[in-house]
Amino acid sequence: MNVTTFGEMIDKTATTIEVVDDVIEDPRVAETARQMINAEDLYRYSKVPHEHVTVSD
Amino acid sequence: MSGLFVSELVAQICQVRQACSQWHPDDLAGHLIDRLNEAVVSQFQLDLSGIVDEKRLAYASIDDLIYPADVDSAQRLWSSGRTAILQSLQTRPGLLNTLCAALEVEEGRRVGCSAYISGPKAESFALHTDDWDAFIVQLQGDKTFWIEDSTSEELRNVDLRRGGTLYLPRRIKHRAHSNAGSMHLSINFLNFPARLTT
Repeated sequence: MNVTTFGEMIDKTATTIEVVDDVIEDPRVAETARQMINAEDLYRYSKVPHEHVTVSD
Repeated sequence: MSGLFVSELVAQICQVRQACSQWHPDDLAGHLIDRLNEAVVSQFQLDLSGIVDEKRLAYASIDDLIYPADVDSAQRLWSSGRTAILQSLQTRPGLLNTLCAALEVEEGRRVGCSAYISGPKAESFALHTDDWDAFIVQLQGDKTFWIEDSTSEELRNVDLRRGGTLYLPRRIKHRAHSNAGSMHLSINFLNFPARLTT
C-alpha cells in the first residue's frame, strides 16, 4: 500500500450501508443502539491521561 | 443483502473472548471485512468536518493525543505523520452502532469502537496499556503489534494483514507499527456496565 495523503488512506467508493439482521428485531439491541446515539460518550478521552490531550490550532 | 451479518460477527467475537487466554489471532471472512471497511469509510465520507467539530477525530504520536481544531489542522497533523483515530463510531446510526449494541447486550458491558488510520511509518503510541479489552480487525494494509508477555515480559509480535484479527485483553502492554499504511478497527469492551440492565 503506497499511501501519501489522508484521503488516499480510505476508499473513495461511495457506499450505502444496509443492515438486515435479526438482532435489530431484538428490542434490547434496538434500545441500546438508540441510547448509544444519544448518550454522552465515555470512551473518547480515556485513551491517554487528560494532561496529554491537546487541541491544535 | 443477506441477513445474519451482525449475528455472525457477534458470535465470532464472543467466541474469541470466551476462549481467550491473552491474545488470539484469527481471520474473519472476506465478506465481513468488506462490510466493516465500508462502515468505517462511510463515516469519513459523509461528515469529516462534523467529526472534527465533535472532537471525535484525534491524532496520536508517541505519548500524546491531539484533537484538531478544524479540517485544515487535521490534514496538517496527518501530513506530519501521525496516526489518525476516528473515535466513537458506534454513536452514528448504521452497522457499527448495531454491532456494538448487540455486543453490549450479549456481554453486559459497555462497547464502543474506533478506527486507527496510519500512513507509511506513521507515529503511534509507545508501549502502553488500555483499560478495556480490545478486539482488533485489520481492514486495510498491514500492521505489526508488539505485545508483552505477562510472565516473561518479552515482546512478541503479531503481524496483521487485511482480515486478520487480534484480541488484546485490558492492561496488556502493547504497541503497533505499520510500514506501508494501515487501517484497523478496534472494538472496545469498556469497564462499565451495559446501558440496558433488564
